[in-house]
Amino acid sequence: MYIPLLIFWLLFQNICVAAQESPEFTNHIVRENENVYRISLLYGVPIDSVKRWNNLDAKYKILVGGNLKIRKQLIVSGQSIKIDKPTAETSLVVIPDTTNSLKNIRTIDSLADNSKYNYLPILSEPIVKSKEPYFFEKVLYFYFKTKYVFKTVLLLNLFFILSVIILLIVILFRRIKDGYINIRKSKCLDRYRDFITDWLYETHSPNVPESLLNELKDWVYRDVFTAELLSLHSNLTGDSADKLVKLFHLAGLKKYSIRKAFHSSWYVKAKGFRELAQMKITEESGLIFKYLNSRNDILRIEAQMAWIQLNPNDPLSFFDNPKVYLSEWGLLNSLVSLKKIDAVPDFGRWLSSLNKSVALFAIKMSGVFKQFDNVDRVTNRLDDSDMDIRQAAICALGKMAIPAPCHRLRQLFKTEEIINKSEIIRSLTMMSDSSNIPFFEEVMLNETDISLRILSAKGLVAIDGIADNRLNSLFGEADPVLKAIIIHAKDNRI
Amino acid sequence: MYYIIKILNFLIENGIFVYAIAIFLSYVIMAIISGFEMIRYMRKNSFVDYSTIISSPYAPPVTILAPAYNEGNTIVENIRSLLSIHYSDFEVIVINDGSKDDSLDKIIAHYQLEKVDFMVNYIIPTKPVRGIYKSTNKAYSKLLVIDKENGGKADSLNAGINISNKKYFAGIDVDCILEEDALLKMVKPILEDSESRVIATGGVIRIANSCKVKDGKIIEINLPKNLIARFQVLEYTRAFLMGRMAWSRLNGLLLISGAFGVFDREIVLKAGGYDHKTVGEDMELIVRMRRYMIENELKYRIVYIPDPLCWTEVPDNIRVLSRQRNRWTRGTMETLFKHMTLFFNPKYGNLGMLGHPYWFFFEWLAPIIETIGIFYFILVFAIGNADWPFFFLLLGFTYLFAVTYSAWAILFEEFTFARYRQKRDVFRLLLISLIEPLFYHPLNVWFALRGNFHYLIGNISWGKMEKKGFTDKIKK
Repeated sequence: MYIPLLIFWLLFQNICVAAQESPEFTNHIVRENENVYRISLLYGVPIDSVKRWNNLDAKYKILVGGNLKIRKQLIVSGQSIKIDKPTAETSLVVIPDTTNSLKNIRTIDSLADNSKYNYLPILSEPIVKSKEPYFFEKVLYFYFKTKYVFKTVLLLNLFFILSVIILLIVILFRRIKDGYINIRKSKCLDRYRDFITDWLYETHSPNVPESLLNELKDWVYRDVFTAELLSLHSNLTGDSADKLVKLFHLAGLKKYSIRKAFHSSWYVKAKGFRELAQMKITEESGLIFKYLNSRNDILRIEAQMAWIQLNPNDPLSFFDNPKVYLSEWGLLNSLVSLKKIDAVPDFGRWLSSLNKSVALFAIKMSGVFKQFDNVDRVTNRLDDSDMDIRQAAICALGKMAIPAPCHRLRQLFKTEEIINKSEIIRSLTMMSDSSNIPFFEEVMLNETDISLRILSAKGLVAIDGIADNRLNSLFGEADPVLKAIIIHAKDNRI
Repeated sequence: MYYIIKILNFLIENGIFVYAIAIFLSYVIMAIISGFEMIRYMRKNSFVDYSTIISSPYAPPVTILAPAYNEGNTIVENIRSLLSIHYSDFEVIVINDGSKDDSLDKIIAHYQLEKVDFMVNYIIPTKPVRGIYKSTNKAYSKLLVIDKENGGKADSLNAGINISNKKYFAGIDVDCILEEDALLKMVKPILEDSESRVIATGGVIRIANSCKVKDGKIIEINLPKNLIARFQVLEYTRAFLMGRMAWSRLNGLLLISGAFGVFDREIVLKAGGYDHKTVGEDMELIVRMRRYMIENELKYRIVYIPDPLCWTEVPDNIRVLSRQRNRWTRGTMETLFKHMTLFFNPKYGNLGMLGHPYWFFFEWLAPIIETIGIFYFILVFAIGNADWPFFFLLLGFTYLFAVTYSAWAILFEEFTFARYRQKRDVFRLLLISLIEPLFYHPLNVWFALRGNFHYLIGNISWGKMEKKGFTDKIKK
């Protein structure tokens, strides 16, 4: 990333403006024997105005060859003119013309030749005597007389400086605050750890001490205590886990979890759901139910996980009527929750679900949990028009590793795409059924894709006995590529 | 002279003003987008238990591809670091790209390797593979070593892709130090997206200079003592936390750093693998994968993870830095010009209308325009018509913008991962951000210009990066 000094470019516009004549002013190049008065007569403008436009003070000097700014609207040759209110202009320095050599530059006293021209009408202009302005007045004056681009950039600069300072303060403040909270947390952490361990393993009074209850009203202490309790609980099962749940309720933490679950921010709500699920608080199931099909991925996943843990009898009931496509991450978490409650439902119920994600999940899980009752229905999904479903079915059948659907898989092979083809070979390999030998041989010898050939050679190797002999006999008359394939497949170190 | 100014003036009044405004606005917009995205990411991941992925049948199988060239003094250590990563279904393929040193012997000796009869399938054509090695020790069963003839990094990665057979592969620089849960974090977006296929994920590269390393793990994070490296901390923080986060949100990410990225092997194969002719193979591959997906009308996403996952040594002297930046510039140019059909092509959506033109104008062209600007300014200055108050004001503006932007990046880091825990480190970073526009930025512009020059004269040499091994630091 180039945070560039590109703004140099912005500047050119303005440089170039300076290089050209400005629209309001015309330039007069001072010649020999001229003074300001004479120039003012030339253009028919008041002498004081010329001085003001060019920032000439009482002891001014002008140079031959230098520029003097003359305001265009006021130029009326030889006539006296009405003068508008003096307006503010940007300053322009009298720039010496560098083409003139030094000897040509001579100063002209502004008052010296005045008498020569006293027959000319002298224009009257009220002389405004101003007192020396204060510093901030100067700053304000400078600010208001500038152009709007200038103003904007100036303000932006001030904003930047301010924001850097504010950021610095924010960072410092946060560090200090974190440090303070951490000190408080570390103070109580060990105490709580001891307390919870005592609660678990030693004979204890059935009530939580009053002092602790008071302490837990402070959110810092409560956070530490809850986090410690929950992390311990997630590593425990059975009796001790129940003890911790009891402690949670006795310590009066339930209402805070429920409050979290009703919070309007999704991330707090999700944490609330998680606590409800872990602490087996079933009262708010209605709330969780509402979020089972939430559009917010995280909230939906947490709600589903909570639902599974709170309804051990029919944990996956929300799969019956899913309204959104569930991500693999969500399904993975559902699976984790299922493991927590130690329940494996019959996935056959969702095998033909119209929601693709649920169907994929059911097929995959049938394979993972080896639910042999579902073999037929999984095999039926091999006819599906969706490639992902077919792939999942192929893999699931491979995982189950029973040879019944071998024939169907081999049939499918001809029409499949290459990725599914390799999955079919892998699955058939896992089934390691001798009826596959001709098929593997066929693929190994005649298929064009080398990775498929290697896979089917491996499939042959996996079937001991007859297949091994067959490979050896093929090896004798094989071309170099086939030889390499067979050697590769037989090398069990790979 | 007058006419030169006239012509330039015309260009400037119409184009450059808009350009300058656009570049500044784009930075501001990116900062805002990435800010919101970062908040969302942090909230989303505040209660994720990554370890659930390990034990799950949903964990996508990943091959780690680590090409190595003359890394003899660190290679054994680095492989151990790779093997100790937390993941279930993964293998590590180390590709020895015809090293001239004793890398291969060292690996063979240390990991008890022996040659196996591997049938190499050259799906993507590469330089010939001399041999494939596996360990006899069961503890290293996840390791596979490819010995091939020298062909460069892209060629080595292609060889690795040919040999790997898992669904995803992670391309990494072998001298990188991965955090243990790096892969878990990288594959999560793949699982998460339910609507489109995630074809690649990229991670943050952090700077390991001056960090304490033991047994292939970072044990203490320090701000680099070296000034050049410290500048890069700021630069990387800015680019990764503010730039890429926004691009990821817009699904317009054009670059996943070659040092660490996970890719969908199938799509990479279909797109044709890495291009070994370019020096910017990582960017080129992403562009080609995107094109493949768009041309075949497939829904896809390329995701970026802001977690600090991969630590690497960056150049700590100007000479090496110059070569690295030179190479980056050439890589960018090669990729941009090779895919010029994308330029403002509405058919390619965000890639054509946003990603490619952005890189074209603001990454490639910016240093060039900036240099011309400086020369132009000198010209105007010589003529003597500069508007000095405005000049200094604008100079101040650019400088302060850069400083503020860096300060925001530091704030992002502070509120998200806060890896530099010492209070004085934050001040140091802020201090660095004050010097950076004056010293480091002009250097970078100069390197980029040299890159352009070398591209034009067709000097395609490998900017080799000399790295001090981690091993000599452990001895200290």
